Amino acid sequence: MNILENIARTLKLSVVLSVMLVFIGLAAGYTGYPLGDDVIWLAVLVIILSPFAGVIAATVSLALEKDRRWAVVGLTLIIVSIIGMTIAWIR
Amino acid sequence: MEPLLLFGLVLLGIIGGILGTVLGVGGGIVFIPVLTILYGLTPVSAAALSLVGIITVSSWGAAVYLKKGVPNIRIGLLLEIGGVTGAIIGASVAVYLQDWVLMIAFSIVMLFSAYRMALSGSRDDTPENCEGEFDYYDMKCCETMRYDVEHKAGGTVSSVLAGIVSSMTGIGGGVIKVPIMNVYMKMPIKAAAATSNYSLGITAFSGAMVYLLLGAVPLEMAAFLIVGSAVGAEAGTRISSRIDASSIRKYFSLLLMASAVFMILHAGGYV
Repeated sequence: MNILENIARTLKLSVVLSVMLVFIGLAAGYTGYPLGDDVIWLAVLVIILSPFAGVIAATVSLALEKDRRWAVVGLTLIIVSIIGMTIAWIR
Repeated sequence: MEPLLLFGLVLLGIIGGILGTVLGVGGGIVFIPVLTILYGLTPVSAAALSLVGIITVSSWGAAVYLKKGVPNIRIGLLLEIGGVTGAIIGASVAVYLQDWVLMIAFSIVMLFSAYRMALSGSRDDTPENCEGEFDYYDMKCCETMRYDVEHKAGGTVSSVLAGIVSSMTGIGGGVIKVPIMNVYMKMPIKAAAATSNYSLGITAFSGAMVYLLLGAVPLEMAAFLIVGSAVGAEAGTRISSRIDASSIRKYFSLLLMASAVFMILHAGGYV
């Protein structure tokens, strides 16, 4: 499977998973189940993380293709993103 | 929130998803005016919610376009090092700015988007040479086009600005990224637009993550917007190959200009 298909599958899977969690969260919320809001928070987290998952899929694919130069670029982007998330988390 | 307003968000997601996918702008230019003017959200909440919608539209749309092989993933990853850095700075600063400052910023970006949209589609820069580090398959010419990319480092630094604008306004950085790639880095417009569509989500992700961790994303509204955006993006990818987007761009740019003027008046307290 090539790099573009890997990223495409990862992105689609993330969106489908998030939409499923939205429906579960809304159903739980409207039936009075206490964890409804938490499931919706998880759904939002999954959708927000989907492009990041795509970046990881791209970097892994580039590394497997031994395209070292661009795999390092992908890895740098992952590190910058993690630093950003850590700063936001600390604040 | 009223059920009617929540279902209005599904409708907003569908419209934003269709237009965002067809026009390659992510949907933020539809989400922001409606969320601030009709739903009365603060600019920070509207930007946070809009970024969630943009990610949904971009992820689903990119998944379809990636299979056609047009986006340049390598250049997209490189530019996003700057884009993500800018997005983190923008979202961190936005929460401290006054509402009217953000409203004016929204309006300026919307006016610029409208200007770019009205001008787009008039230039054909399909590469003619058979040499180049990168390539894409051109559906119109039915052949593989090869091209080179210039100013990679300068493009990455310039993308910081696109990231700041994207996360501060929630409108997406496509209006800045496409000219950077096409004009400055000499990428063909088709590859630049497709790469921008793919990278919109990555820029939006870091800004949205900051907003989520700061508790600025209205969760119930986000849930309905995600569902609508996913449906709209799927519909958009199906109809985009059957319609001519250039006329839609021109009419939509007029609507965008009117929305921007209304938001400036709103920020000044005149309406």
